Amino acid sequence: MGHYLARRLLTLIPAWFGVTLLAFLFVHSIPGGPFDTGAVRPPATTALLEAHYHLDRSLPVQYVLYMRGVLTGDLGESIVQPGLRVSTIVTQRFPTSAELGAAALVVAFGIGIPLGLIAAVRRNRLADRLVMVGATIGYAIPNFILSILFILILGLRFHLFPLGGWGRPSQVVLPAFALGLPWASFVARLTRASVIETLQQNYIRTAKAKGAGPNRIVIHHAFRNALMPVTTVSALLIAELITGSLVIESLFSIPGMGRYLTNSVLGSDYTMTLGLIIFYATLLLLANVVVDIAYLWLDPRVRY
Amino acid sequence: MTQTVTSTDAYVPDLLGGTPSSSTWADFWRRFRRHRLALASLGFLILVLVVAIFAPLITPAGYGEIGFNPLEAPSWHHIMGTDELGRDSWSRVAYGARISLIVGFGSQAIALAIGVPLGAIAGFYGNVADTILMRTTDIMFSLPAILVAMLFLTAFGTSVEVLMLAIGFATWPTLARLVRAEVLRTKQLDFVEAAESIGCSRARILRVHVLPHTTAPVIVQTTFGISQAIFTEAFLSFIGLGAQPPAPSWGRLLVDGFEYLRTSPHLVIFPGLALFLTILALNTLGDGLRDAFDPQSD
Repeated sequence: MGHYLARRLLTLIPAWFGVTLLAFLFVHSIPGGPFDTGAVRPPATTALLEAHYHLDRSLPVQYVLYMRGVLTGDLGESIVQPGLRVSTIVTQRFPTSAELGAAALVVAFGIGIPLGLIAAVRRNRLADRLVMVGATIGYAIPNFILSILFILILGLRFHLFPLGGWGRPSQVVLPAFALGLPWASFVARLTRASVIETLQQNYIRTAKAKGAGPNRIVIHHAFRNALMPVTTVSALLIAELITGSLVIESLFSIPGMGRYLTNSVLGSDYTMTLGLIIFYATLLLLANVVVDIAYLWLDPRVRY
Repeated sequence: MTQTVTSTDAYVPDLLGGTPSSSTWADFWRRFRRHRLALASLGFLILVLVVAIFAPLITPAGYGEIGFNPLEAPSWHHIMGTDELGRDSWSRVAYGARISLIVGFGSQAIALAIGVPLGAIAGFYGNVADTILMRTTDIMFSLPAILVAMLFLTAFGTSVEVLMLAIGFATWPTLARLVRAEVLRTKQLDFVEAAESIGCSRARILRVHVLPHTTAPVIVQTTFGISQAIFTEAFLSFIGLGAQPPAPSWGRLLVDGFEYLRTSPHLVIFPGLALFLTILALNTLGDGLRDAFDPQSD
């Protein structure tokens, strides 16, 4: 296990350098320098600014200097607001985004898994049909449309929930559902397919032959195995929740990190974009490792 | 059905009896026709296509034309109402279909053009080519497609063309991996060995004997890919990174209309409905195609 973990973490290194290089090259392939904005400025000041952001150095040197910072936890400095460190934004804003993401994950799994299980057990009956229709619709609704619907109906019409902000539990409900519900649909479909497949396995027949009741079979025998595909997609789910947060945070005025990424791209704050994307990429690579380990733990047959 | 049937059986004569085998495509059509929701979805998508193509003929005004009363509710004159600048909303939704379809189809054409050859070469020739593809796609997969597209937009600015390129660039790895897996599976089958034994060149085996087997999964994946691309375009336009005003992308219409949610909900309802139904139709069509390509669903 320890050996596997070490090897798995080692494979992260090339992928991590690859993705940072990819992001770095994209951001630095922008034609013209970031200070050629037409602002009147003495050439000496421009030179100083460029020296401050290492823009007077060659591209490989810039990459090495940048990565040296990243490895010590410094993701760079905003080019639009000098003095603002990307790492500061991360430490201040990421906890909020993580709370939103965790709440959405609870919605996705908490609704998706039970519904998928019910649909599989009641296969081709009314409950199954309803769940599947709901899941097909839920999966096709873009999260920003769902947000607008929630705001329009539950917020503006019936005043059930606050329209935005962050901090009180009631403010978490709408954004968490808007972000998580489409993925609950996805999880429900996956769980259903997976449980149905598991229920056709030989060991389930054995359990039946030994006299286990239908509930015992589903809960004790099928459920754990059926969860494997759901585990596999949870890394993908985290990635989707991160991108979803970009729009959910601005719609519900949540002071999270997603808005900074959106605004940095809109405001041509290249270094901010780069730093935040590298942070997200690192997070996702680590999430993948965690999922692999969860896999090991859930299924003793899996040995790498 | 007791024997195991793999999807490749669709391509060999049916020796086990059953329905008299006509052709793969006839079988496909017979199975697809039974899926009524998929048929309805296809019909709806054709309608969207017609609206997109003939937008100038079926709308009362251009998408940027102002001059009507602003923020008017839907009526016989303006079936979807008017927006804050007095533009006819139906015209904007209809022209928005153009942007969605151009980005949806265009980006997937780009993804196919990159993904299929790379996946085929990696799967068929293996070795270095395969290692390079797998490592490259690993890197691409460690970022969600939307973030890759955002990097692309940061570098090259925002316009419909760049959006199409960005989404195509962000989504080719999925197709490349799919084609690679299919090629790996197919190249071990007996008829490939037979083709080798009669002296077919490697390139010919790949082109004539292996690649056609990837058609079905590629078509299914591309359908879902178009749906994803249309969502991504709307998403990026919604956060301000897509088509620039006055271009009427559905995502743009939604975010502009969001400001008038209290008084004029029609501004978000119609483009929202258009986007939702188009994505729903593409997903349902994809499900239907997958079932129809799968002989096991008989």
